[in-house]
Amino acid sequence: MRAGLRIVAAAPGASIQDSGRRGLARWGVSPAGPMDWARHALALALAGEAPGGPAIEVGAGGLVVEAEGTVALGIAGPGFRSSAGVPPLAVVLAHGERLELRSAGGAWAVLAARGLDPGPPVMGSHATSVRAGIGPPAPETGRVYPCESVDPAPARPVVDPVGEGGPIRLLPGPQRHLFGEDVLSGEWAVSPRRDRMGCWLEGPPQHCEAGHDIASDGVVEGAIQVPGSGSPVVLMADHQTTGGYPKPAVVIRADLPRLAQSAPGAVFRFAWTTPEEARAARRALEAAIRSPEPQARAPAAAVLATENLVSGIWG
Amino acid sequence: MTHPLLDGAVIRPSGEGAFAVEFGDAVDPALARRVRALDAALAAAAPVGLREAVPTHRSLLVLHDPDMEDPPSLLSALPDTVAEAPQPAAWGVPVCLEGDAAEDLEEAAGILGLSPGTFREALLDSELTVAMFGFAPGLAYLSGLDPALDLPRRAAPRPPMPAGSLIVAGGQAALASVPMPTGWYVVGRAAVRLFDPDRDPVVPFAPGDRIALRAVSEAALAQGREPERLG
Repeated sequence: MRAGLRIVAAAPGASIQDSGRRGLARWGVSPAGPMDWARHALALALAGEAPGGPAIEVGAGGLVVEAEGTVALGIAGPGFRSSAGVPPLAVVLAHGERLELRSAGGAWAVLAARGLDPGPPVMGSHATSVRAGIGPPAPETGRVYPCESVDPAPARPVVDPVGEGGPIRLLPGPQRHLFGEDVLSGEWAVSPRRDRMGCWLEGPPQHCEAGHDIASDGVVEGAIQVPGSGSPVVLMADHQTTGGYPKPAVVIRADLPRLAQSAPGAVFRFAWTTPEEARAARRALEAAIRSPEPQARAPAAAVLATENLVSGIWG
Repeated sequence: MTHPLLDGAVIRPSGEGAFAVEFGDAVDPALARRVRALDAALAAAAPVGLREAVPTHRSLLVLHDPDMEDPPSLLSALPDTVAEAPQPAAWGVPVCLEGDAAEDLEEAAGILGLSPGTFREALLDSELTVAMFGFAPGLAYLSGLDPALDLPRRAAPRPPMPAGSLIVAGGQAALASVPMPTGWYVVGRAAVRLFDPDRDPVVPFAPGDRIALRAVSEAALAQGREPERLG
């Protein structure tokens, strides 16, 4: 039997994202995909879905959904609150039940649903390139996504596997050799100017010895490019496929979610790392996402559960 | 011993999932030919761990499985004897170089001290080659523009131009598949669809293909022609 998830209200910024559109960069098509791959994977896992599939990415404007039938959701996103509890959590909505997801300072959240069908893929993927207007229809008020019908289950909050704090780690980019030893040292903050394409940084101006207009070459997600202004931009999910600004560094994949979710003005530092450390950090995060730890029950909830057991309403 | 396709090339790191094979640092058709030869040979060899490659004017970005221990070892899969890269195709592309379709042409000609007619002739006589795709879906950078048409980019971008626009600046031409603001000059519009998500591949041309522009009237723009294969 099929159920559905109806969009009651969606602020601009909500889009369908799978893990990205691959193999078309040579034609200028951006991979797109989630801004925060770790929370995307976590939300899918919590909804009982395989990694890489489609889910709803939610911006700071939030989202309200309503279940048609009984649907299983997975929700993740730091600095977000939901009417079913604080993410990350798995929750099953009964028919007619609504869920509100609101930012309390977070930039991006992901709402996944078991069996969510966003419609046919576009060029082999359900990722949405917002800038290029490529992807499945956006989550708009009134749209209903078919989902799998499930049995009722209690909400299951888990511990967010993405660590907080610490430097954002870097590997060299293709023009590392054109910058000085101290490139990207010092204190940095994310500018309020950021979108799915880029994350502008505020900090000491950076200088490229060869100038800031280079013959275009290919770019990857997380690449830091330095235009003539000297203010670096981290290229995010909707990045262009090639670029004519020098790129001294690439943010490692394990730390990209923290950068994507950084509050504007929050100060951080960069630290150079090795490919081995980058891989180990990413693998550790992937493993933590596969088996998230249950959240210790909050005291108020524990009291409530005891009272309910005593009164015999539950169990 | 270095593989002949890699002779003189430098491996540049690009994070944990990619590296670039760089043949030089300039926009140079000779470098672009080497990039295409490596791209074709690598695609044919299809080594385990290769995800995709992005050819540009002067380098090939190789995206690979991020769990690979020694990513540049992908290049050892190149065969000792490399078959000739596939012959590029030649296309006749209908473009309108008049009226609204060429709204910046007179301005561009004026900057260069040329008459609009001379500007049009120089465009039509240019032996253009698709150098690379990038920046936006299906946007084709074309090398081979007549040097007489070399004019600097605008100091500030102009408002978005329509899909299909032929734009020039910085000694290059490009066919822009999607509307976007640009610092280039809009000097024409192609009467062909340059990007189609339902087509495979999504663009009609490949890097290395030669492009001959064919002047058509404004009325022809509405007819949505296909590019004409010349060879």
